[in-house]
Amino acid sequence: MGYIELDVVNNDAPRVVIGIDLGTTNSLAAIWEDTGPRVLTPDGMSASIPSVVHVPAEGNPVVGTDAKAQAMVDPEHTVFSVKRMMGRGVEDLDLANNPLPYKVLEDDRKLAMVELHGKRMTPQELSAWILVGVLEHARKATGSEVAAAVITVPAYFDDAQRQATRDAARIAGLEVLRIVNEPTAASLAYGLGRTDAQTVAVFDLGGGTFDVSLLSIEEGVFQVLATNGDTRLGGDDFDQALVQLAREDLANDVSPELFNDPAFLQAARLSAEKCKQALSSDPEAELHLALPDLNINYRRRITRPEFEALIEPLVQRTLQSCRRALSDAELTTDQIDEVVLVGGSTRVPLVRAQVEAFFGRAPHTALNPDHVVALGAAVQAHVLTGGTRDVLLMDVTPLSLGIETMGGAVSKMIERNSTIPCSHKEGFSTYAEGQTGIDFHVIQGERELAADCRSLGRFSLKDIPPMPAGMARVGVRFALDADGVLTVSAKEESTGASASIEIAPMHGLTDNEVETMLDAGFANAQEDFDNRRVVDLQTEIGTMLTAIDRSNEAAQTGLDRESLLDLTEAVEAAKKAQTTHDLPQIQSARDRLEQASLPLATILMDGVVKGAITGKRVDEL
Amino acid sequence: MDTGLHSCPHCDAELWSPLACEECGALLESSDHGTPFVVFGLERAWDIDRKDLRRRLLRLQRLVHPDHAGATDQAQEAAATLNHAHEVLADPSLRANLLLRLLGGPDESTERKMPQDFLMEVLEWNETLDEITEDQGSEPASREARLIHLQDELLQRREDLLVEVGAALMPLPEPKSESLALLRRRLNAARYLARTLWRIREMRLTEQGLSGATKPPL
Repeated sequence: MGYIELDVVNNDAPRVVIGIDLGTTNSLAAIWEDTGPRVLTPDGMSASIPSVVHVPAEGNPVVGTDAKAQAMVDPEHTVFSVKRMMGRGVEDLDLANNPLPYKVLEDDRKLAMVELHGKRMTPQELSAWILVGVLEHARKATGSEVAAAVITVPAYFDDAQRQATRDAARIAGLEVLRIVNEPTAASLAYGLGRTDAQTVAVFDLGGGTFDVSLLSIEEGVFQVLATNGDTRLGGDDFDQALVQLAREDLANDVSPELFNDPAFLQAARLSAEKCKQALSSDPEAELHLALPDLNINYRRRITRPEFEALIEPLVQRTLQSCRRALSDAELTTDQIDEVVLVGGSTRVPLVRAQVEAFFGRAPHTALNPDHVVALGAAVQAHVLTGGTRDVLLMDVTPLSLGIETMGGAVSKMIERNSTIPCSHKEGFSTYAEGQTGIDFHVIQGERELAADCRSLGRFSLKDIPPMPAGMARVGVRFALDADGVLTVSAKEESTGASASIEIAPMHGLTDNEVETMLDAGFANAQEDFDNRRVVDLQTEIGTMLTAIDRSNEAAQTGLDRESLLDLTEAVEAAKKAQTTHDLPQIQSARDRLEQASLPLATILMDGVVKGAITGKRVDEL
Repeated sequence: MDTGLHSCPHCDAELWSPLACEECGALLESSDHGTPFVVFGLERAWDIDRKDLRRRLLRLQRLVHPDHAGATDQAQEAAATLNHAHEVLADPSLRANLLLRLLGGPDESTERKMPQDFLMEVLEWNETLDEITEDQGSEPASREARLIHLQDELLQRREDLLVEVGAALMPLPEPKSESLALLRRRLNAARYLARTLWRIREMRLTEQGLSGATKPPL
């Protein structure tokens, strides 16, 4: 009986297994402790780590809050939304509608890469840095090394995206116990299905994506019945609805180009988000946009009904996905026993109300919707290390898998929503006289034509003995393992001759590529962390102090008294910390300095961004 | 039982499935686990208790699933075998097809016909469906109502057909008997109905603007 065994003997520090929610905007980790999962929160820090990577001209990339702080200062080298790029091509990113401040390129396999300081980085590498940040976070919170982890992905991630996630972990030197679907993790977190058989709907509305999954839980076995979703729908769209409102109000007073001004976009998005959050608890809130440099000072009271009218069509779109998932699972709403809410955007009262009305029952909201997925991942990590056998997760594949046949049609090998692991074998043959090779094109998707589906890769079967057309019997086998990772093999059977196959991976990294990245120093990135951290923090404090000193005039004139006093005190504390080697003291001094300098940064940022745009416009002319 | 199951080579306990031993939890080596009936330790029969089948699936998956047994090829294959066997036995028409094959009856390529009386109905249904497809002028609600009407008719017909199929399989006919050709024709009809029902469902979902929702934007 093979439990997953972890080498705990040869390490001085205890090694732990954790669950990681590797999110688009934020990532976090959780661990199983005695009786249940707990989110990892190092002292004095937030549980969530912004999924942002800042790559400086020299030295290692910076992750999380530190990186996020660079988003406005050094936008060309600060990468966010890495998750959206994983296993995707540049075309998929729709850059025309979603412009990014950093430079996105395409490699020779048509996959997105980011160019930073003339060096190209894959989304896998960037994601690996985020994982390194999460591991540091976990180490600080537990005092232990992380041995392995369960990582969650959206139910909608296809094979290429899952593979990219695995590659990111490999680059970060992290053993992956399992890739688990986020909604499945959520229901694990709530510990549903302990008693009777239940059917659960998990409604996950995050910042930029929406997922709904239907699960059956019986005798501790979790089975995903159907999943559906929309990769371009989330709380960000709620913010945009408010921004749009402001634009309409301002249309007569402001020239249209200004609406594309990054300073306007950034400020509008932030104030819309603030207004939205306030409306989750208050009956009305203010949408306030103050951009003195652009001559804008806009205020408007928004009532909750007004806001709800704006986002109603968006909420309806989530319910459409719920209908489709129910239809796929051949279920009706009255057969759903439990509803679980996941994702920060489910705090919006209209979302809660509509979900409750749609399913006819009050959803579970006891756990923090931002933590649920990480908590569930920790439960699964506990299961996979033999901690408990009360729970078993049986997942389904979100998309059909097949082979392109003559004329560009699709022959489906594994149907969408099939329970994994699963395998399917089918016979193919040659169509030409004396044909000695067959090219196979593996695809994923629901459309009839291969050209409309996603290409997962091509491989060819060679060395078929020459024989009349249609005589060769080639068995093609698709095997999806419990992680949803696909293996395709082909064998010529009529002669018993062994035939060779070549699989050209289009999305996953080759072993060589991973090796190269490991050589680049990734695996060692975690070593000597504390010492490096002290040096890094000292440097950072130095840089910040210089910058603050340089902007003294702006601070004196632009800041209110309270902010100025706060900043002065933080500067004092930081100067004191510069003389010590005490990591916690240095860390807290740095964090305090960052906090206290935010108002100043805001003042300066307006100037920086304006400068950047002026330059850009000249370029365009 | 289709094949004689022996005792566990590890703990000597009596086995009810060739995949694993529930007593000692061992996964068992085998190149061929036998028919889906054998996999679940069930008699070869049309009549099946769905709840009992599912319980057997869950009991065995707890033993063989890679999450519990370790991510070996053997565990992956055993779990895949279980999922496939469950899918076949849980679906009445797949189950009937399996029994027909085990009894040495004709497959779809050698016996392609459908029952004679059924063909007339097919012509009518196809005509109705074409009418609805081509009639883009009328109200969506009225098109939806006509599609639901047709869908209900087909569902009922499919249910009747499967009852007939079940009756013909209880008790199981003699292997290679004459009646198996007729059974194949009924199953061909059931397959036609399944495909048409799927087509109607897709049409309805498209009308509701739901068809795009299954596909993530690429």
